[in-house]
Amino acid sequence: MSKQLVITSSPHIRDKETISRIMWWVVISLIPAGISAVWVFGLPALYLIVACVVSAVLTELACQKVMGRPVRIGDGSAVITGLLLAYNVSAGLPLWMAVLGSVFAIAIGKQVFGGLGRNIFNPALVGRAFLMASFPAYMTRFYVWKDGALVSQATPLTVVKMGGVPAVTYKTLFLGNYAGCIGETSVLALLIGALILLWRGYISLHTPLSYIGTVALMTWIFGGKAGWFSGDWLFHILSGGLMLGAWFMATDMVTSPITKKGQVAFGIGCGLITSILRLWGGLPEGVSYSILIMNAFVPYLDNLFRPRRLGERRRWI
Amino acid sequence: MKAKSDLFQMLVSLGVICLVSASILSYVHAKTHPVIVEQEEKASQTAMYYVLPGAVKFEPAKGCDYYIGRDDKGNLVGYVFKTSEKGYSSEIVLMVGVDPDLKITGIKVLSQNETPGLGTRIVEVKATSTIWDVASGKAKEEPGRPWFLEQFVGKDLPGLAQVKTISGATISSSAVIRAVKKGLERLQRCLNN
Amino acid sequence: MRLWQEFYKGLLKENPILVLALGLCPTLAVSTSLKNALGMGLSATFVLISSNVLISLVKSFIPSRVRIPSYIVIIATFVTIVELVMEAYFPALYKQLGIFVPLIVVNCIILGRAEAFASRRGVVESFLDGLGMGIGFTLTLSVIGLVREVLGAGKIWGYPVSLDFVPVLMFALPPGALLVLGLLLILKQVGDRR
Repeated sequence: MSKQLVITSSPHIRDKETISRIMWWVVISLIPAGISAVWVFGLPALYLIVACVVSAVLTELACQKVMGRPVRIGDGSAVITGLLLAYNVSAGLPLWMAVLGSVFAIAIGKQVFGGLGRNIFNPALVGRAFLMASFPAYMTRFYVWKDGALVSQATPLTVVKMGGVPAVTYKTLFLGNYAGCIGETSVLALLIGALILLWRGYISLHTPLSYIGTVALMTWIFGGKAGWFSGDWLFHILSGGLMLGAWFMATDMVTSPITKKGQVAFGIGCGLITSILRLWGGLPEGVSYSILIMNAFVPYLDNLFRPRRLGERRRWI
Repeated sequence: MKAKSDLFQMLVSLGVICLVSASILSYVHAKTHPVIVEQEEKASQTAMYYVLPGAVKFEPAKGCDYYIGRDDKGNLVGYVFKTSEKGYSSEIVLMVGVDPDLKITGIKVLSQNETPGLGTRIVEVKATSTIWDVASGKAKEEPGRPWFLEQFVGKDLPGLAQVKTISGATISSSAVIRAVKKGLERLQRCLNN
Repeated sequence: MRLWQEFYKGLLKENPILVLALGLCPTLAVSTSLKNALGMGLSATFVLISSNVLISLVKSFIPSRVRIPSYIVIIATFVTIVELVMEAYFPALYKQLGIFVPLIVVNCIILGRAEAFASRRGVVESFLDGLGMGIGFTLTLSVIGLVREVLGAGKIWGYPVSLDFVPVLMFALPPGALLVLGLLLILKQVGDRR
């Protein structure tokens, strides 16, 4: 009885939109990147995607059973976490590590906090951070698929970090046929997915544009060897996990701010941290850590940019 | 009057406690200090024998911070020096032995506090027997030498470029290479003077 | 019977780490391997027993307003003894534990037991309390150390479990310590409710 009666205060709007409908549309928007992953990285990418999604859903099921919560694996949110985690690893990662990352992402990153809607950090990125801390050698060795086998290759950002000049054109970066995490390389596929999300109205441009814009600005100002304002900003926004992160992970409804102003601040924060990590940090790429760090600030940003009543002052602390 | 005696009592009891613990500690210190010094000396000696095989006597060089190793007939076997460099999370201190041609004969890490499992791979030894072998007494004794540091053996200053860093522990392993390079250059300057 | 209780309450019912949540800093920092955990646990146990016994002996002579500084001096004395002896006779362990040996001084378990127990109980009770708490601390630390060593380094007591085991490095790092401790707390809670 109590489960059927949902009591909320007015105003009420009747709508067909449900959580699972949103989630399945997000899954659809991630499919182009998956196709590109299999195209660039071959069958190993497909195995990784299947392994991550299946283990994420099974972990969700197991956690909800053990914790005595209603089983809601049909809502698609675990599928998204599995997909995003798979997109965030190298094609050469052993499957059992990917499965372990998936289990960690769902169990520790999501269910321990209380399940969907209560997690502080993006579960897929929690899984990735776990894998980075646990198997750094496997997570930082990248491959491309050549003649039916995986061939080891440095990512363009790694080449830059080592002080070299990457041998990729902007077109390659846009289409995605180069070494990297399997779902991050094709900007084209990610943008198609992003258009679907924009058309459905599930994301707004605030976070992605402020994020990508900040990275472009920072890398243009500080990223060049010939002094200030000489950086190759186009290279920086097309390479690495920026597009995947900015469109699909920084816009996660649960772990990003509610208000538009908050989202812009969130995007700028992510952009600043990403650029700092890329230009001066120890690792070549910083998208995942920057989003995780900014996730921690979301409650503060939400409070800071809460719509104010007339005459109310903004409280910074 | 009451307050005054309270204060007096506090001072006396604290003073007595401090006095007693100070005397106990100085006794323990006097007992353990020679052992500690001896331990340190022994560790340093063992490290010298390890990095410069064949030498039996080590004498400190004049004016410069290195040791000259000689065999039992007094012939020059090589030099031993300490060097250090900032790694990822700690100062990595090394003992390096070289022959008279300045080719490296051995390296030992004296102290480091790098990230377990990552940076500590600079002293990782390829394991040959598992805990089950040890428990059942099948273990082959004689622990091996760290494979990363063995790369240095036989190389001279220009040869250091061929030493491969450890993937996943680039910062720590390149710090070791830099430390060896720095030490070798310093030794060369000292010998030329 | 009652004396016996003072001993075994520290093992599980009032386990210093799992129930009182004291001494978490050394718990998280030195539990990277079974050897370190055992070394830390036994050193702390020695200090705990000695300071408990001594404090319960001299408690009536110490004015209550200077009791905390007095306890700290007593504890620090024992810790320094442990440190010097360890440096002289167990240099390898001393090198591994490093800064955490002197930090036993500020291990909350020791001052906590001195203040909450030894300063108002008899010598025998204080001895048993220190022994129980110390063993409880050592056991918990060792369990965490064992789990972290097996998962994070693939070793037990420094020897590999299997020659081709890929360690989950996170368990060797601080987040792994928090995770293992958290899981242990869950186990304890589940056990208590049964």
